Amino acid sequence: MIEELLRESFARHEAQAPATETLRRGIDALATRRRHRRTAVLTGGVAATVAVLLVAVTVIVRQLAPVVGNLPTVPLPGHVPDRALNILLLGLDTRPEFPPPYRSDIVSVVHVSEDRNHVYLVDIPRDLLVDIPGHGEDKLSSAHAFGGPQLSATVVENLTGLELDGTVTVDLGALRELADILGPVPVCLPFSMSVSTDGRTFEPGCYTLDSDDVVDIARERYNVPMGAISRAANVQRILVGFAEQAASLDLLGDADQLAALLAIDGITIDLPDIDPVALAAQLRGVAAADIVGIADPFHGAADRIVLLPSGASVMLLDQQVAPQLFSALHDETLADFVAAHPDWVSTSVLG
Amino acid sequence: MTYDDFVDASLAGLSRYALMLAGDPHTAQDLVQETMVRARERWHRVSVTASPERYVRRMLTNLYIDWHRAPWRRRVHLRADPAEWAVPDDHAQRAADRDEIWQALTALPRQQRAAVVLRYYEDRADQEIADILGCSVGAVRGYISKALSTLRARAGAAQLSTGGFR
Repeated sequence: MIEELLRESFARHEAQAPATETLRRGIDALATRRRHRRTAVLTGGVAATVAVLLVAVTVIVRQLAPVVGNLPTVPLPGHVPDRALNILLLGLDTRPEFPPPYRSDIVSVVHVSEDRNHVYLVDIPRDLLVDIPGHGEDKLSSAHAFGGPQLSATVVENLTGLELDGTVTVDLGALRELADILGPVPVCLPFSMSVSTDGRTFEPGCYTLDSDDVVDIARERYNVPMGAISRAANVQRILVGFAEQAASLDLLGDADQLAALLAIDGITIDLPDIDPVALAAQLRGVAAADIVGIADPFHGAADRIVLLPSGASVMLLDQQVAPQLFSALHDETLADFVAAHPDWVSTSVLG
Repeated sequence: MTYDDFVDASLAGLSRYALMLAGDPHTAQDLVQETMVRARERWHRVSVTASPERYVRRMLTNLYIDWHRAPWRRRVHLRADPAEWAVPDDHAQRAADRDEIWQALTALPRQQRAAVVLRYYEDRADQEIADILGCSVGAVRGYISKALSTLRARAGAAQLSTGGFR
C-alpha cells in the first residue's frame, strides 16, 4: 500500500529529472573549471604544525626525563622566553610536480601557556578574507605564496593583534613519515567522510589510522561536511593522535625509531628566541589530553561565504566569537574561552 | 567500455536516480555533474570494475550521503504556502496524498532514502542495494523497514490533518 504510493510518487516526479543535454554541458563546464583549478586541488592538502614538532620532541624529551631527572641540576641547552608563547604553524603540501610558490593549507597559532602545562592549537581558516600588505584583500592562504612564512606571520599578527614568536613550516611528507614511524594513529571522527581519490568512507567513530589514512584524511576537503574547515579540525585531531601514540611507545628504548624521528625532514623552524629542544623539555608535563584544538565550527553560516570577483569563495570571520578568541589568546584566558565555547573545541568531539 | 559510451548508456538513468535521491532537480544536477567529472577523471579505474554502472551509482550515492551536508550545498527549498492551495477535489486530493509521500521522503535519513529509491524506483535486489550502499543485506532491510514505518506514520498523520476520514 505505502509501497504503491511510493512507486506512484517516484513515477510522477520522473519528468523533473535534469535533461541529459543540460547535464552533458554542465559536466564539460565543471571538468574545465576543475582542470584550471587542478594545481590548487592537488596541492590542496595538508600540513602539520609546530604541534607535530612540539609533540614529537616533547614526547622524546618526556621519555628521556626519568634519566635526565636523576641528575641534580642539568642545565638545559638554549633559551626559552619566560612567558606564554605563540608560534605560527604553517602546513604546506609541496610536491615535486608542482613548482612553488605554495599556499598554506593549514594556518594555526600554537599557544603554549606560561606555566607550560597547556598547548592550544588555534586554527585560523586558510580561506579567510584578509588584508595582505602589498597585495590587497585575498585569502589568508595566499599570503604564503606572496611572501612566505614572514608575510603569513605579519597577516596573522595584524588579524589577531598577537605578537608571534616565530614560525614553523611543516610539509605533508613529514606527516606521513611521522605516521610511518609512530605507527597506527588513534583518531576520532565526529562525522562521516569519504576520500576523494578512491571513495572509501569513514563513518563517525574512532579509528587507528595508518600513514596512508592519515595523509588522505588530512588532505580531504571535499567529502567532509565543511570543506577546508573540517579538514583543519581533522588535522588537529591527527596531531593529538600523534601525541597519544607517541606517548604509548618506548621511543627511548628504540634507537632506530628515535633516530628516524629526529631525521624527519620537511620541517622548517624559524624561532629566533626559542630553542625547540629546551621548549620541549619544558613541555614534558603536557599530556595529549592537555593539547586542545580550537577551530571555528562555522555552523553552516552560508552568509559568511563570499564570492570574490575572481570566482574564488572566501570566508568571513565570526564577528562575535573570533574577537573573543583573539583576546583570549592575548590575555592567556583560552581555558575560559574553551569553557564558554565548547563547540569551538575540535579535538574533544567524541570525548 | 569508453567514458562516452557510458555516458550515452547511463546518463539519463543516473539523472532520474539523482532526482529521486535529492528530491529537487538542482541538487540532482549538481550530484550527477560532480559524480561524472570524478568518474571521468579516473575512468581507467572505473571501467575495469565488474559493473561501471553500479560503481558510478555508488559514487553518486556516497556523494549524496556525505557531501550533501556541506553548508554551501544546502539549498533552501521554497514551498508554496499551504494557505494558497486551492480546495482539493477528489482527484487533486489523491495527487496531494502522493505529494505527501514525496514530502515525507525528505524526512528520511539519507541511507534510508537511498535504499527506498533503489528498491521501489529502480527495483533492485537487496544484494545489489547492499553493494551500492556499501553495507550488508541485513542493513538494507533494516533501512527499508524503518523508512516504510516512518512514511506510514507520516502518511497517516497527513490524512488526519487533511480530514481524510470520510
